[in-house]
Amino acid sequence: MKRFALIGQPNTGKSSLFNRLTGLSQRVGNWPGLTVELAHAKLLLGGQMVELVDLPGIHDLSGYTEDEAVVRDVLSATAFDAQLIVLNASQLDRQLPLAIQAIATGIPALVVLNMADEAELLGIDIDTQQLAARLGAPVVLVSSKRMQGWDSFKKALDSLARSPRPAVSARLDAIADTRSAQNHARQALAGAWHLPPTLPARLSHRLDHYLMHPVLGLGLFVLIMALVFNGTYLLGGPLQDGLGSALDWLKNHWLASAVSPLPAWLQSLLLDGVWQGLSTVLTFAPILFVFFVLMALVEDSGYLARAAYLTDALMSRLGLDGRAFVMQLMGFGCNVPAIMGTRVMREKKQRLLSMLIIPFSLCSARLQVVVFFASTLFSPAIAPWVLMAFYAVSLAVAILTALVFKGKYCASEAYLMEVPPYRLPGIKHVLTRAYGEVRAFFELASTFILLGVVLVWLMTHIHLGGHTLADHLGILLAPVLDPIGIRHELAIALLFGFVAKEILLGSLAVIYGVSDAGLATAVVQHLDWVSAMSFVLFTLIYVPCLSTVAAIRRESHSLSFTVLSASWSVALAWVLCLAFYQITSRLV
Amino acid sequence: MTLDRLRTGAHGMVTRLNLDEETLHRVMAFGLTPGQTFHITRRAAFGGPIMLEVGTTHFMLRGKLARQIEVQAQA
Repeated sequence: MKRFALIGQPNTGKSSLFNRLTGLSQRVGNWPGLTVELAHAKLLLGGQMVELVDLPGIHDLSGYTEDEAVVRDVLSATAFDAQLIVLNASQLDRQLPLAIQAIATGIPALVVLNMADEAELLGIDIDTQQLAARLGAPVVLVSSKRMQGWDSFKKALDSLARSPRPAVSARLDAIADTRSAQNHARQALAGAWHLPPTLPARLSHRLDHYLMHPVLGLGLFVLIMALVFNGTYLLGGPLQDGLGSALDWLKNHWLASAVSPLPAWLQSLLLDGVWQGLSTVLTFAPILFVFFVLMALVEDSGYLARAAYLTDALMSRLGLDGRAFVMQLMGFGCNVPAIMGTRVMREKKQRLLSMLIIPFSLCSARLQVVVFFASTLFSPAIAPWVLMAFYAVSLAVAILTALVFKGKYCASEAYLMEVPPYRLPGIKHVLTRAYGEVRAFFELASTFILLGVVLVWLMTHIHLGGHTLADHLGILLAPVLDPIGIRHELAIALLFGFVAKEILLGSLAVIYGVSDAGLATAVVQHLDWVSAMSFVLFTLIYVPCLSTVAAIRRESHSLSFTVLSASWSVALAWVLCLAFYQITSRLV
Repeated sequence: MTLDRLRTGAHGMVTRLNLDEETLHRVMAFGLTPGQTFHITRRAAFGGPIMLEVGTTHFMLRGKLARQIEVQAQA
């Protein structure tokens, strides 16, 4: 099978071109010998099966960023039959040096000038034949959004696929340095690429007058984020609930009777363990899908770059960039998509720092717990303030974590970010992307989550000397939990809360031996408000849920980072609860 | 004069980049090379990033980086 590489700068429509060519057949997977995930797909070109690999967007083949190193590693370690170099047709002055460097590697090249529609609007004149002659590689002018120039593009692809030349790997020593590639590009463009003397005023500039305005822009930012946030959870929430009920119905009406001939313990393992785990994972699907559709709209429309611009003054002081702010906000709905969304940041350290603070966003599942306790223990006049205090704690803990770790995960790349013109996102591209993200999450996270759920089932169902393993753990942990006012039976609820905060209240009802409706009374009987608040504070901070941990594991590609994230939050939860409980219980 | 000292709306030309090799690559990849003209289109509040227009490309950079780029104001 032949193998083609797809390379290009960020914001050139490279991924949308990839989606156009491959559709739903693409897979995301680890590249042999590297810890990066690359999207790849098989397609039929000129009667040949070709594997097309989408490499990360880069600016400079001789540069020092992680992505630039990844592209060099992949191109030099693997033999490619061809490379498609995607450039933004209106920015050839800046982007052609990359093509010159890539062509020099010796891999047969096809230069794809994308966004022909935008170049036309700007009045840019391109002589592709002259350019091809000067570059020594075929050049096609396309618009992947409008399928403009698609026939000649496909023909060029077919003839590349039919070429009898053997595959070669990149000769890295032949890559010109940035300066000489730029000189070469200038010569190649002279007379073949014309910018009009004055560029026409674009709609983007007029929109940015409002959207990037220091005051009005921030207001509109809040509004747009509110729309995205509510869109995700207003659309995703009911879908999640509906799917949850459907899965429960399946369990009660079909699965329960199907497993009834089995021994009781095995029934329980299958129903309360495995099935519970599967449905926990599955119910994330709608919310993840809606989130990725909306985030793709925000990113592809060009708004994400504006959001980063508006929030950068604050975020740079925390060692982060503005895109992390957007993800932190999304985390208030659900941490899982927010963690996965950090992928918009290409720099690894920035991503890790973001992933470290997102779990402190008070998500909707933990909100249930906070609201339940606040309304049970406090009068209606005080309860809203308690809720506010928990939101404040959530933000304060995130900021504290960022300040503590910003030295360790400080960005090593200079922060320069393109602010592209506003573009209408392609719906097919957006849906393909969302589908791919959701599938990738399931492929990698489901085993992890299932293992966790089964482990918790074992802990709560295996009896040893009259007590469950969880009881023993609670008693074992008493010296640690007593000082923070959490009674050992609540340790079991925390264990369930680790699986998913949605089941924490239910498990608490089981622990007190009451119905869900009787839980409020039981809590008032068993707990004083100081230890109850300590319990809620611990619940907010300790670990968001197994799915978030799985997402962190998947996105960081590092078990030790995952352990660091979880243990930092548990330790922080304990210290804060200790301070809260010891001080407050002495005051009241 | 360094880039951060130019007022919003000003046009200028890069004269010197006082950057380490790694940062230099990043900055040059965005088209900021000695001799290149640019336009400062806007600046965010509270010491936020500066927006530059170089050719047809618009991008932002932080003040800290702008202080290491020497420029000449142009009419």
